[in-house]
Amino acid sequence: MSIILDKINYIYSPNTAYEKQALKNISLVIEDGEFIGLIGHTGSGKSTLIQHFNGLVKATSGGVYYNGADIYDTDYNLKELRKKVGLVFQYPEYQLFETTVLKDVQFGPKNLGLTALEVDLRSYEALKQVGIGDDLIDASPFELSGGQKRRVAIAGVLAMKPEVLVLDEPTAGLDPKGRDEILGQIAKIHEERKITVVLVSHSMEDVADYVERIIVMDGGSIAYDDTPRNVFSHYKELEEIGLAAPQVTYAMHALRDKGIPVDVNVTTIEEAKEAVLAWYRKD
Amino acid sequence: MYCKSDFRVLGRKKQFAGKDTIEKMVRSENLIFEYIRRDEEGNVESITKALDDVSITISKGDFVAILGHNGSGKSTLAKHMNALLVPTEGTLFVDGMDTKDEEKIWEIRQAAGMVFQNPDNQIIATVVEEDVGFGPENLGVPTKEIWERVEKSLRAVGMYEYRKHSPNKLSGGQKQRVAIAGIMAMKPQCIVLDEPTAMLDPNGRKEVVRTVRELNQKEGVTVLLITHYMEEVIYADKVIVMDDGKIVMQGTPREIFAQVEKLKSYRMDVPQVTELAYKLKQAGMPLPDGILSIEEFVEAVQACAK
Repeated sequence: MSIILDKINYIYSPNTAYEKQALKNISLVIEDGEFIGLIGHTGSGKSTLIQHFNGLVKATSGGVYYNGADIYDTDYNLKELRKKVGLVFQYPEYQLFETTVLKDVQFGPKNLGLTALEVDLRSYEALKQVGIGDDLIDASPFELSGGQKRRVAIAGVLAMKPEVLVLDEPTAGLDPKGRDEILGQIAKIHEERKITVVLVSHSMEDVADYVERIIVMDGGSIAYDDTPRNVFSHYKELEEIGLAAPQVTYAMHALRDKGIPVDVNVTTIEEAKEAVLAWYRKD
Repeated sequence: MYCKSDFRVLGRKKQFAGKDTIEKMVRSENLIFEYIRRDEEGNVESITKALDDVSITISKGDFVAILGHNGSGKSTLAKHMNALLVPTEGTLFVDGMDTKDEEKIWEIRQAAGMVFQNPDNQIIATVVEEDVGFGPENLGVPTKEIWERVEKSLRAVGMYEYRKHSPNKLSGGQKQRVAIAGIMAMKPQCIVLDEPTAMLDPNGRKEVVRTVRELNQKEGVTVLLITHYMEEVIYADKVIVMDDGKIVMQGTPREIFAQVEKLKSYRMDVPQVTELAYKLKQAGMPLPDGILSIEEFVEAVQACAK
């Protein structure tokens, strides 16, 4: 059970003046149940890459395999694939359209041809998992706050019971608490449903706090693919490609530069706290 | 002339600086704004108080940051600054002009320019310099002066080399800087930026914040920055925190960020290094409150070693 990308190249508007290679020779294996952060500055190819996961965009060359099957086979059922690989786009709240929250979430599973009971079960479960209470299910989606709308949009994808959940910048534009809430819920869903989650983000702090593996994109290629600790140890190289490590990583390096021997490979506030205390208590 | 609320919101130092010496860019008195929802027959269905008794004073040349969670009323307040919205009750003065005075509306909008979140919604021309010239042209500025202003504004935001480019080929941060240049070309005294970096990547965010700080410091433009990013706030002269339509905290960044728990109760955050210092202090290290930068953090930790 995995997604395999084999030497993927993608060229926009080939043979025109606007020709641009968005992805260059990408090979990648995403195993079942992984929690991955995909980072890269604007235009690095992140969004193009995730659209290859469910066949929304077809590679110019190379192959994509889902659970061992070639998705570019002429008789491969792409519709089935899109049920299994759920994509939540940026600003998904702009895609809400129904008159009530519940109806909006039901729309996806209804289209799968499920029984009314199954549709309801899935919708209620999905709304519960994103933290939308019973008091809101009959409200108009347009009466909700930005963070609530976004959670309803994510519930709509969850209700399709995807095996892989890909979220493109799920926290963009949210306040700090809203950011933590959504990420916390995504982590919980990953835990409870044992599904694969790919989180596309600009925020290194968010990624460092939650994921097990980070893939860094630059200029259409993969620059790093490793644990947060190892990726952020390249903080100087990350800066050169328009990214940065979490602020605490810099703080630890600054301490080390002043002769305070702390572990510099920390990526979260908790790790940094332990690192400084370890030094302080020994000192 | 000056009401009590002026004193309530001014920093302690400024209270004694003599009330007449400080020029006010924006001053609101007990501002209330209600969104009124009506049903199909026009009957009032519900009233939401988006701003509730807001009294603020912003002096000329200040860099003021407004924080608050989604729905706290910050954008509603921002829209009052150039009379896109007018108070339901109370008053708001921009450079001494009452925003309710319809005859002054164009003067007010020229005094306070706005930059919004989405760069793609603010650019209208096909060439960067024409986009920047659009504002002054509409003000009836003579052609020669328009081009002088376009050049000056583009240089001020560091986008002069791109003047002949097509805006749609620029990055998000570059587009936002062009949008800011477009406002600068109208020679406003005050720029209000409503989450200008929310849709940008870390580089774009840095570019925009650096540009805004420079305009404030070099050109003396009053800046009102609304943001969710705590790192963008630490350079401000004053931070205002809003919650539920009210102003709940105000002070210097250090005063505000020293109150970690209180900020979190308003759904806000603090910079990572501030939180780290706070947690270390709780764990028994003798660190001061309200550490804002890595440099301050390193100094404070070094002091613990001695």
